[in-house]
Amino acid sequence: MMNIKKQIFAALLMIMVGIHGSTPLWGQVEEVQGSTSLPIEGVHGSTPIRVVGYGFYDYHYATDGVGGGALMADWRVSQTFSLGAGVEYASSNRIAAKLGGMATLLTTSKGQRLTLENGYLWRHYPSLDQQEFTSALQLGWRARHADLHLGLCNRYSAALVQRTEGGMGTVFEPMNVMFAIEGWWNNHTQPQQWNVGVRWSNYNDFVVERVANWFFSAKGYYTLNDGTRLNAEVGVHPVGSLNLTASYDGWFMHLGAERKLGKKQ
Amino acid sequence: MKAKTLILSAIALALCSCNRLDVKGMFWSSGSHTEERVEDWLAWDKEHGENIVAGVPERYRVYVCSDIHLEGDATRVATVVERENADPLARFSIVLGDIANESGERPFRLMDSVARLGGDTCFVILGNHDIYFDCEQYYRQYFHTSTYTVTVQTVGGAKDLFVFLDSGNATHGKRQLAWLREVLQHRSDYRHVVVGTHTCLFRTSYNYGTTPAANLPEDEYYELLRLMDESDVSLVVMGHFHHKEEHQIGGVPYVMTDNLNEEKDTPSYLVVTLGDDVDYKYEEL
Repeated sequence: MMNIKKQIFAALLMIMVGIHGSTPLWGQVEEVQGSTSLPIEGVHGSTPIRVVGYGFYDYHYATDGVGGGALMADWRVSQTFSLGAGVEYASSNRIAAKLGGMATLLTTSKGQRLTLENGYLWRHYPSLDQQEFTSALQLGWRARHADLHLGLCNRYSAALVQRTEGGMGTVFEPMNVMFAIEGWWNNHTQPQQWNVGVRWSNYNDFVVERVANWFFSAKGYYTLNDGTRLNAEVGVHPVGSLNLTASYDGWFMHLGAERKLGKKQ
Repeated sequence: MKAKTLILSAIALALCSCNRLDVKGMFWSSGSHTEERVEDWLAWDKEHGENIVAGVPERYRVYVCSDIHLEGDATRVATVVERENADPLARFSIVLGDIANESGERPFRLMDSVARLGGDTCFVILGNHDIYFDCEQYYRQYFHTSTYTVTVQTVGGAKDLFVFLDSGNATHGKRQLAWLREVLQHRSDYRHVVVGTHTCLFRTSYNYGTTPAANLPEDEYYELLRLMDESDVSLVVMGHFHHKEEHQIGGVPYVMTDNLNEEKDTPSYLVVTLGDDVDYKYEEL
């Protein structure tokens, strides 16, 4: 029975990936602080469920700082598929939910992995009556000291209240390029010690923001025990060449933890 | 190994000394922030009083262009201003930023001389290209402000309001948004309200030439859409992405002007007509 369920989920994921060729939004849970819940050997790679929570503070010089938190979970359906979901709240009166999946396309004997992530994000701004939907497709490659991602995301925003007068109140913003380049000091799966890395990217753990708003960050985690780790990330948004990304000029920090659940397989 | 080091060093040196690509901005923040500039602009406005264009007929025109990126001469933007001067229904022209394309005073001096052509006024705001490197000092020297209003008084007693914003940092910032909310609270005093800002609010189409160009943070983007809708703004004009684009969200039309720089094969500008309604059309240069 369990196998049939897994097969159904795997088929659904394949359809998602195949039809929409979409996103990383869910995959971000997989990527949080370089964790490895997918079927790669190591302390975090053998349990079926992982729960990740973190609080964040994002400060931009030109706008108010935004604080909030996110809770996400992923389920390793099979050796090559993982599904996940999450919710986020931000103090700028923004709530969000996401759903997605990750397929491992290739695993080498040295632990290198090629992955395809597909995700969907819904965000709602209650006080502004605005909603938006984002899908993304991301290809990832992970090795011992590096983690690289490249993808595209599409966003469709809808001002539902504003449809009643004039235009439709909807905007489609297609094909934003997203990327992440991470370098890690140690093997991602190293237990009982700190592991640190650096990241250059234009999207955060939960949400794909607009293209070109890239940042640099230092990130790390500490493995408390067999199934628990603490995560941290601190980063800066520079103004960008020609001030192009200056709207996000500022800094941010994420602090959180993740926990593995279920029997090891 | 030595050759590679030399090549890398040469590339790094070339990039750092390039006066068109602001390499250091990719790694750390320099230059002014929106908040600081807006404080300066509003202080200048307060000291020099409100811009009023009086004695205007009930139906009149305004010429709008953007992204002129002056490198050679200023023929293209001068043509727009001269056509505006020659149009008996037109009252002033607007340049929505990106006067410069590289460092130096020259583009601003040229733009200033173009703005003085003929008898009509040319209102200018800044774009992201006008504040990196050492450009901002020249913008300040020649144009003084980028957050201001222009009130048009018609002979029949109607009033139209033009609101100009500084979005050179791809954001309007807290102070400027507060000022904008305050200004739009008086919406009922005016027949029409037109808002002009450099950075396009939307990122809706491909344009490989400006692919890295950013726009507003989403919280601010949605707040602005809401504010424009609630305030029944008649028209929002923007630039930045170097092509024509039109949207209608709620009752508000958002129009992006084309660019006028010399590399553009088919440059155009916008002619806005204000009467009982607000209409606009693109005109080829």
